[in-house]
Amino acid sequence: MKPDQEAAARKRALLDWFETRVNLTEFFALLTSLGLFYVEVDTKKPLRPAIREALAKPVASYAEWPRVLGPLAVLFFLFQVVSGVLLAFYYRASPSEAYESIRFILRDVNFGWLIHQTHRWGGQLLVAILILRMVRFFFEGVYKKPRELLWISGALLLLVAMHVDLTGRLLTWNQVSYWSTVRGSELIFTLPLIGPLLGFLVGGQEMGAATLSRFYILHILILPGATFVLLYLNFATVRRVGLTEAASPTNVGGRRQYRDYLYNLAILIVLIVGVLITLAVMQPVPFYPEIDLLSTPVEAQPAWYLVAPHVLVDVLLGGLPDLLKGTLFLVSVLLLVLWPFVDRSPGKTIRERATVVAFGTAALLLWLLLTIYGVALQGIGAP
Amino acid sequence: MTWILFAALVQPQSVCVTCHPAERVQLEASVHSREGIGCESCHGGVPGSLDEERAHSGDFRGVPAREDIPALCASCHANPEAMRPYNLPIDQFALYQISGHGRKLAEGDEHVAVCTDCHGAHEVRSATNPESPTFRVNVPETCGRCHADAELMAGYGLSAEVLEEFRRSVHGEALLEDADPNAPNCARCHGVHGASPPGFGDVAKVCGQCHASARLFFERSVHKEAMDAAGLPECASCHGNHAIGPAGSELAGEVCQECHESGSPPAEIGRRLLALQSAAVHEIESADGLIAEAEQIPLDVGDYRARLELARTHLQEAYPVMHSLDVEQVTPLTTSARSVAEDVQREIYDKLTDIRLRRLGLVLFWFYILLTIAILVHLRRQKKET
Repeated sequence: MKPDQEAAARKRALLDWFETRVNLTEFFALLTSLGLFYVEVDTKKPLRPAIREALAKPVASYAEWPRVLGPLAVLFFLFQVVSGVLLAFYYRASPSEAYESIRFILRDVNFGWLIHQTHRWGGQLLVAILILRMVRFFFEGVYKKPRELLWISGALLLLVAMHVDLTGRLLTWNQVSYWSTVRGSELIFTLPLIGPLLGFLVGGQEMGAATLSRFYILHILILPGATFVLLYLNFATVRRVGLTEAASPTNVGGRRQYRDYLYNLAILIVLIVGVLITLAVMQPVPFYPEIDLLSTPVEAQPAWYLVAPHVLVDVLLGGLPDLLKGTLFLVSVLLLVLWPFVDRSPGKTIRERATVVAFGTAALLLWLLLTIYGVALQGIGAP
Repeated sequence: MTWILFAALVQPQSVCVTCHPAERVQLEASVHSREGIGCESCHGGVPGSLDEERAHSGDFRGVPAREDIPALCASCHANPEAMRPYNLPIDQFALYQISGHGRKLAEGDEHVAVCTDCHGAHEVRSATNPESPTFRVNVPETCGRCHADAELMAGYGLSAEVLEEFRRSVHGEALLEDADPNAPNCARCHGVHGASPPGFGDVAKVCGQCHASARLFFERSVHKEAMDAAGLPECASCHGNHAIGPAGSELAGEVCQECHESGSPPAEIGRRLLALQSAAVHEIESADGLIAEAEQIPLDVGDYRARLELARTHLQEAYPVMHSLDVEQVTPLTTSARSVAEDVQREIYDKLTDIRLRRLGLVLFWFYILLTIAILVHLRRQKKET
């Protein structure tokens, strides 16, 4: 036997050894459940024939370009997991050590700054992608029966991603992140029922050691766990009902095979890493000073996606009592999540749902205008 | 009529204020009214009477003459028994009499300051009251009421620029702008009630009260004897008096050349001291600039700031030693200041270079990214063809 044939045989033997003990195809199928590889895998077959069969299948219409936001979100999520684990090696979640450990990561750890900055930017881009995805779902009507679950899991995914970002911001434990969290939480804590409950969950309404360690657990364990579950749910329902009538599992007339799809995925991964590193080098997130409990910054610095609600609630509706503001906020969040049950009209084309589309466009424009107003005129908003 | 009666009933002791309401308002703001010192204490008369003639009879003395005011105030303020409960000094009158003001008053000059000019007459406030003209920070303004009056000062051959000069000086800035509790006002050097300019021989002693180590090094220097022999005021010869600038600024001027010929050995020492000082200052300022630049990037500069403070401390230590005129003694201190600042600069510079390298690295990185993508696209096409 030639040497390369020998090596191939050895590899096959190793695979066989595992194959007889566990179903490797099941593990592979797990990957497809995360939306990276939208294909049904026959888990009864051994791994190699199963993959060969899957790769030869035509790409489902809902996985064709430009339907790339879903897999993009998954890739960003995975990137956040990897970079987050690296950061966790050095991060210490206690008020006396947090700032110092971030400084250590930024200054002294080899390429610590790169991991920190790409992790920060990755989080922002993940939220941005999920927002774009929801906007697209809205205008394409991807919440009408039977795709309610797709919308709801997508909206929840967005909310969870925002919370991962918000909890992550506090972990840097600097003057800006600390006071922004204090300001933000003041509103949340005025909410009936949810306020006290959240206060209890994050260790009291005072920001301190308990808050920091609970935010840490939320950030690295509970919320990423929830993201994983929601992603699974999201793509499970995509595989069953497709994205639209045109892009459904029954309509697979595409000429591409999954083999090409894998290459596209690889190109996407390379591009993501490129974009993140470029942002980290060219637009690094500022290094803010240590917390000064005696001086509260005049302006709150809400995250960019919260600038619009902040301007609306704090600047334009400043006179309202906190309870009312909080309730308004809560109602709009509930409206977002439960939208499929609010708009139950059967029409699916844009012409059929003109009122709803007009409402959505108005809301989106308001959000954009308020954000621009806040950032440009009020100078608020932290990257 | 009833309100007069009412007033008489409420204050049977002093009804003067019934006819003198403006003075009443002033008096009530004063420390004296709080301690029960009434009109009659200074003005005499019969305070209980509402009858104009009777009220202004007896030992009534009206507005006290200016020359009598110090003695009148002293009738209580030089009395140990009367002052003991307030823990106030009793030597003001004695000091006043030997002050420039007191001596001129004794000569019959009524334009000089008496007690009421600084303290006010009816509205005397405690010197710890920020509203008082004798409160620490208000003193320059109070003295300036006369001493910045060019017309008045001309008669005594005194400069009326002193207040402006003081405001611009390091002392004035520290007192009036930074509210530094250690900063001196006029009285800190000239005395309070015994106000007079320090004599030539006393300047070093007066300045040395605060600048103790500078005085120590000065007294060991050759300047001490030479200046005393020449009858020159010690500190003020180089530093000036009211318009004192920040430490070290004198050397930058041509102050040495006022006595020493340019190029002579003593002037050379001055030049070397200036060189040592300005080199250290230059390095510290450059480091400061680099820190500001690095902060924008953003790089964490907390440590560097602390270390630069250390450099500043070394330089601060060097200033008193410079009065010894001993270059050997000054050099180690300015050198430490310089080397700390240089270290900080070097380290920040390394980091800034690192940042520039990152950008360069990014260009290379994109080259590899595009290469990888090209390979992937090529592989995809190849697979399709096979």
